[in-house]
Amino acid sequence: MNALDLLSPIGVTIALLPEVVLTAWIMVVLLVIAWRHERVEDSYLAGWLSLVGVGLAGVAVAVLWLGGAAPAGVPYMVALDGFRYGADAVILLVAASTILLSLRYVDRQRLLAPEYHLLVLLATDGMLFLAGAEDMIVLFLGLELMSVAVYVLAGFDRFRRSSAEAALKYFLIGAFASAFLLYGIALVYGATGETNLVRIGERLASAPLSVLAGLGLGLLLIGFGFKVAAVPFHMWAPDVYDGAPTPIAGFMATGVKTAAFAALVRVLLEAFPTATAVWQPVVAALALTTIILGNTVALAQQSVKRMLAYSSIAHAGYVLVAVWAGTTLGAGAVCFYLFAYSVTTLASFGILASIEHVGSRTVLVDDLEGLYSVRPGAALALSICLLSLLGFPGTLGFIGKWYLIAAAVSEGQYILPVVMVIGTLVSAGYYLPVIMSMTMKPTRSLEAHRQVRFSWAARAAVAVAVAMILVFGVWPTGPLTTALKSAETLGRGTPAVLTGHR
Amino acid sequence: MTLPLLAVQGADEVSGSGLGAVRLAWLTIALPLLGVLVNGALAFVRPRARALVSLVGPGVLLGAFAVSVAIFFELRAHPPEAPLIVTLWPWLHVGDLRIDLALQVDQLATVMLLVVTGVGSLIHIYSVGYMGEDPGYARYFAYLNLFVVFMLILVLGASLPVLFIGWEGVGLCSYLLIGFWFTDKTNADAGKKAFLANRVGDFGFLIAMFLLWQTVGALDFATILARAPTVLSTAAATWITLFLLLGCTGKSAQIPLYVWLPDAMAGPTPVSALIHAATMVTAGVYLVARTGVLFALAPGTGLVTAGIGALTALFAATIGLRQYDIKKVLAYSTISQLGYMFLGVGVGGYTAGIFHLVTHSFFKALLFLGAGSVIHALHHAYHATHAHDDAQDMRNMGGLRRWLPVTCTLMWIATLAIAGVPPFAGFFSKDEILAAAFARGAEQPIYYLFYGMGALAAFLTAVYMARLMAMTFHGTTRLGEAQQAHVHEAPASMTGPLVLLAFLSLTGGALNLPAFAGGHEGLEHWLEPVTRAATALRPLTLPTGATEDTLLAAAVAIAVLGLWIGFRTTLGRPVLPASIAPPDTGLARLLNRKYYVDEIYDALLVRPVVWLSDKVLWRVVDQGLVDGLLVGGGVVGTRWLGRLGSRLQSGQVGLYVLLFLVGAIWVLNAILG
Amino acid sequence: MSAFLAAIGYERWILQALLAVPLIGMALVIMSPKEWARVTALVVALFEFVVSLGILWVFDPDKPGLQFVTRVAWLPQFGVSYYVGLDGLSIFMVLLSTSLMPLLVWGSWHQIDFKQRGFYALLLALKTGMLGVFVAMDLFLFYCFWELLLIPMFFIIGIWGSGNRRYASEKFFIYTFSGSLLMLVAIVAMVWIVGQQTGTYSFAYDYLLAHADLLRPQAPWLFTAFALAFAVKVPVFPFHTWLPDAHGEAPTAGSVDLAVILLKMGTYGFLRFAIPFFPAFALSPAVTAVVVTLAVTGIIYGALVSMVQPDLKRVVAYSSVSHLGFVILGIWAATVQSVQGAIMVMIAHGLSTGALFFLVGMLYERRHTRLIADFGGVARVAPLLATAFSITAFASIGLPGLNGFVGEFLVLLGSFGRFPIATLIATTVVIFAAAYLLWAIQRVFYNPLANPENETIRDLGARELAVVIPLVAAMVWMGLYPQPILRRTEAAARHYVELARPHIAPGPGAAAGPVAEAR
Repeated sequence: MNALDLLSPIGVTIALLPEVVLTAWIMVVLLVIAWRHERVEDSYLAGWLSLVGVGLAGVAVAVLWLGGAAPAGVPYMVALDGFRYGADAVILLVAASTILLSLRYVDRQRLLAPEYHLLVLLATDGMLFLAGAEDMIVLFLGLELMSVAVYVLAGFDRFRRSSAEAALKYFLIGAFASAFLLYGIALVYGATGETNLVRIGERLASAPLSVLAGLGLGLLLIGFGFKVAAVPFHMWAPDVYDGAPTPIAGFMATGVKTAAFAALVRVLLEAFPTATAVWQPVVAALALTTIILGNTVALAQQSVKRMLAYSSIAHAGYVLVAVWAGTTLGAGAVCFYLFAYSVTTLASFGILASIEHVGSRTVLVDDLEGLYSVRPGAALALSICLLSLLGFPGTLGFIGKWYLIAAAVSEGQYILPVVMVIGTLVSAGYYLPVIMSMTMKPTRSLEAHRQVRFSWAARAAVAVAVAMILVFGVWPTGPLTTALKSAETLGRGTPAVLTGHR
Repeated sequence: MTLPLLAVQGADEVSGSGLGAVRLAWLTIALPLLGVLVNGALAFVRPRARALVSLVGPGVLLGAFAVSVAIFFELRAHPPEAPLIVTLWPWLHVGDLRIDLALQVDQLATVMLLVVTGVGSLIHIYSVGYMGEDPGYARYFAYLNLFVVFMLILVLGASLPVLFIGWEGVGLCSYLLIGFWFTDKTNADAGKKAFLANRVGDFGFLIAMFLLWQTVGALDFATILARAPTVLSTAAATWITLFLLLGCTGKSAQIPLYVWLPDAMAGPTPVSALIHAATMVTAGVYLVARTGVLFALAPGTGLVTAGIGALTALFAATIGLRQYDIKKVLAYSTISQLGYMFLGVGVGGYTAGIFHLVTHSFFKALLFLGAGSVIHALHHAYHATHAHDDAQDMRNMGGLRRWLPVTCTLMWIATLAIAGVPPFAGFFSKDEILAAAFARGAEQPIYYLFYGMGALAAFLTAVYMARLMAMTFHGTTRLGEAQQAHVHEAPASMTGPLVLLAFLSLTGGALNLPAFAGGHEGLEHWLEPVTRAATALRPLTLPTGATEDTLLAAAVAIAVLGLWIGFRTTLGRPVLPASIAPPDTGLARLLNRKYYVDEIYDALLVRPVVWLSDKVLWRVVDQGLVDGLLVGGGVVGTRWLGRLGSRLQSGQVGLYVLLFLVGAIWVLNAILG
Repeated sequence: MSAFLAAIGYERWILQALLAVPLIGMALVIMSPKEWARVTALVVALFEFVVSLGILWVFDPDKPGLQFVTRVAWLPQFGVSYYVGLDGLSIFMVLLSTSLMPLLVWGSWHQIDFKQRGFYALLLALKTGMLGVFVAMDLFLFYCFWELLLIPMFFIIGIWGSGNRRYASEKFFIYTFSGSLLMLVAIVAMVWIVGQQTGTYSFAYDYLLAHADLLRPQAPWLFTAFALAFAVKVPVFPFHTWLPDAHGEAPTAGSVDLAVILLKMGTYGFLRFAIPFFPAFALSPAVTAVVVTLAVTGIIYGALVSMVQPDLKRVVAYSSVSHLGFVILGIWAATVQSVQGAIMVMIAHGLSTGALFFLVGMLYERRHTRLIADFGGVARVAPLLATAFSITAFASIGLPGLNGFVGEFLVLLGSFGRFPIATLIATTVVIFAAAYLLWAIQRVFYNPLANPENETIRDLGARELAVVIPLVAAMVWMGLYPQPILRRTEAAARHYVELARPHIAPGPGAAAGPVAEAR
């Protein structure tokens, strides 16, 4: 099936297959839990059902992807290109593992409520819309759908003050940011009379960027900056990650970022490819501050969770380096890195979630002392994840980082890569101590370590992730080519001059 | 190791077949090496296997001596014009640098071969008796053999680097043997001091080699001596030879690097005799003679060499006057005599230098071994009577000839020889040097000064030697009744070598008997092919006729007068045993304390360096600046930045929004502005 | 022999085998029962060693270029390939590290008394990394191996180290990591700079080398990035302060591996990459002045500081700083003698310093202290140990006839023409080197046997002799008959010199004599 007419209802429906399937399934789950929401099993049931939903959505994505669906002419509303599918794949992967990691966690943490998984599904649905949006309105729709669900998830642990507080902050500032984004959309529409990204691109290509469009661009950047937690729009992140249930923190750090970055790249490359001179400096500056602040502050953290929060900020900075490039190579790097980063980060949060146990919520670096001698598997897995985050050869993280550097260097940019590696060096200062306390220090809290239990679901999720880290770390050809290809199809239908290497 | 492939270059120049022995030159090294392996192994597995060690130790050396003699006669039969090169195997072939492990056999090398293996054998035999009871007997002979190995590499090496193997190797052995009784700190210190002083010299040696490589483009003697006259400017030659000279001063204990030799007496006495009197310390003289052409090209260096020699001769002699330790006296005497040799080669009298080298090895070895048997006897006596006096302090001796008549007579022969009384060996060699110096005076008057210093040193030599003999063997004994019963002559294994050496000291002069004594200067002619090139560049005409006679007369007068004075003054007033003797005062104290040179070096060189390394380089630069400031500073700075950043994370939404707005304004400004 | 090796296609699979065997061994060690771990490791190590020996026969000394080449596409679309080969620069580094393996396992036999499986597994992993660094001819591959080394060493120091081990291991990691990260940027940049001009993006060493002139504009910072990475590893003063800590705290096997191989990776990097890629800049007068100054400073500084170390292991550690300075000097002098000398020093330093660390480790096993002050008169009770230590020490001092001299002598001889003053200063180290080692020897092995605890020190046992004797034998052999090594390294050295010559400003020595032009 190709040359979908996106103006016909049937065409749009097919184009939106994953979203449609997922939404439908959400209804099903909603109905089920309407009847069954008292017992522990119910929440597990909801979990499994949601997992199936994610699976179905995945199938839908695969159908579109392998089917090579393409729009007839300009893509309306939703994109039909590899970039979307790539992003979707990462998002669904994230969603699936989040659910797997949560199943036992919510039980142990007394967060039993089937809605939990439903909300994850809703958020995922929003992410899919966001990542695939070809139209500003759809984009905003997806953004809000995702955000609202995540607001609730962030505060899901309602018995904890920090959790509730975090949720509230997130909601307040989030609303604030959404306003910026919305206003940005409005201004761009005012400037171009278009909401379709490709059309906007064509309009802006003809003439130099008007003040109106410029303002719109700026506001959009700010809005996205908030979602990807780029400095200085990141302040919410550490508190929220800290307060939210650990798997959700992972979900936010990966899924939300992936969707937001996908959308950002799409907007910049399709709507503002001719305005690189305008937005590149801003992105560069954001990247710089994000890398520096994220890494240095992470250095000062005692709580592993908070450390991971800041490290995720730093990584957003790294991704921005590739965004800066504004080329398909850059887009491919973003896509690949999001994959690599999501897998690794989610796995780390998952392990952390399993190490946490009732009573002591915040796991300090010192709490991990000697974990290796009691739970070698967990310690090893976490070490591998951290090394991957550090970007060490033989891991997925290294390939990703190398790809980012290549993207920037290919545009003759050397400062950002250098800052990036310096940031990496600093990051060694907070990743290593965790590894060291796990492997090199004598066990202090033997009992605590004994309590560490991995539900087989979580174990599976982590195992798969670690396997991916190592296998793709040594043999990344598959993901690499996929990422590159998907990036090359980015903005299909737009004049060729606007994409590809410059 | 690959088997030596024996290519003898220049063989064709030798009429007839012959060359059997020369081909076997490597045996002189291989035999002692065998001894090293055997004794070394025994040292670990059966340290007390006396019989076997006593057999192997001296045995291998006698073998080497036999080979040397064979070589000597072969060269005597058909003397080669150019050195014979025995190439063993390629060593350093890099680019156009071609250095083989090759031995060079010529007249000069043969003389050294004979001295080293000959005197060496005697001392090895002597050691059998002297070191008999020592627990480290096997180890001792392993070291001693190893020394011979390196010494022979030194004299046979066909290129500077190969010579350098021996050069450093003998230093190593001297280090090991000085510190032979290493559990005594002073011995260990002495060994270390010796090695370090030599290292300073080696620095010069290395630089000299680099310069030669840069200028002459070769490091083997044949090429160097061939090319040098054509390619070397006087300046270049001067620099090269000056650095070489630095090396020599280290090895041959000349000013300024002589300080290690007196301390080296901490080693067993036979070692002092072999290494620190007869052979190793003469290596410098040998090297100068070997590279005579270079020195001939640099008259300036010749002057320096002669000056250092004369000064050292005089300086050391004065110190020798006031030493009480019998070995210390001999040590300074050795330094002083080496000074003579440098004076000799410095003025261009290479034969004279080598000649004195040979005779000195005879009588100085004799003196040391004699002193050894005295010490041996006293030590035995003290040991038997459980006394703890110093067996080397002459103030505890006196009148020993009653118990040690043989030793006494033999040492007197040596004394007369070193004092330069005809017809003993020393007279001829020393006279030749002084004559040579005097002859140079005709060109540059300053050499007259050197001659004067030499003559004065000769006088002092006679004085302190007479003093030594008098304090040791004559006058009233200062031994306690108990000890006297236990003092007796050493065993034959020790006296035997003494007798032989005494004979050589008596007749050694015959080697190069000058015309006035009815001789025909055998050594002169023997060495002629080696020294020809150098002497051609810097000819030297020894005085003849009236001048010669006056010089001779003066020399004899000086010697006899010195001996008489020394003997009289020493026996003139009573000597008190060390235990109750009052400390020296005034000049005597200054001399006794060796002009405080050690203390000065320590204060000016050793301490500052250690202080700098410890207090400045390590603690300040390494730990303070690099590690503390740069590395530590970086880490601390980053962490501080991090804490600052986490301060912002106050949890106050207001602040967050504020920052958000600031950022927003900045972004918009960046885009519009 | 050669015929047989050719028959079994040795040249084609040996390098792959050398890289794979340790990894397989690693798996075996992990699977084997605890008490069998070291045995398994030893067997693997011996196997690796024996297999590697064939290289000596197959390697053709007269061929200047790469040999044993294998090239398989890895990430084709990014121009990355598994590309390995061997030449005169690397052959003896490879052989050194394979021949070292059995000794390492043997040397750790009793010292490692817990988590043995982990230890030997890491030791083997480390070996793969080391070999990889020396055989990798694709910069991406090279970088991967280069970094991979850190992890095993990091754990070996941090888990099995002594005293302040965690600090040491983290310092080691961060220090070296900092250097190599910039190198990563530089590598990627090189590939893209070349690629965008030639149209082919390739990380292959020879491809980049062929187009090195395209890098000229960016040479200054590219070279700096490489140089930083290598200078930290060497270590060149003032980047050396990780070394004493790492050496000091690491277990014997770790220290030995550090000394013998890791440090050489830095100098190898200069010889192989940093200078050949950017000769014009690297050998420009300004850079040369800086580097040579640092090298000579390191030579003297290392010796002086080593002299006053209270800890025997640190004495040896600082001596490395001094020795490696010679290598840098020789590399920059870029005469056949100096470069050959530099390679010799790399090998010789490996043998002697490695042996010294082994011996210090044996002392430590007996007395559980490394403080020189705690010893004294040990030669009385342990003559074999004392003898072995002394011989090794004299080899390290550079006594002619032992291995240390050959390299040092050639370096100085070759450098004198280009840097007379620097060489003059560097040569004074013969004094200081003797000072620090002899002083240490005296305080440890000589002097009165005052401390009663020292009276019970055992002498070397059979196992320990099996470690020491091969090393000592090799020292003597290298000292008296280095020709086999010199012959195999000469072609590579010449190649390097010819590559460097056009960029060298004629030194004062060049006009010193008629024969100077010859070299």
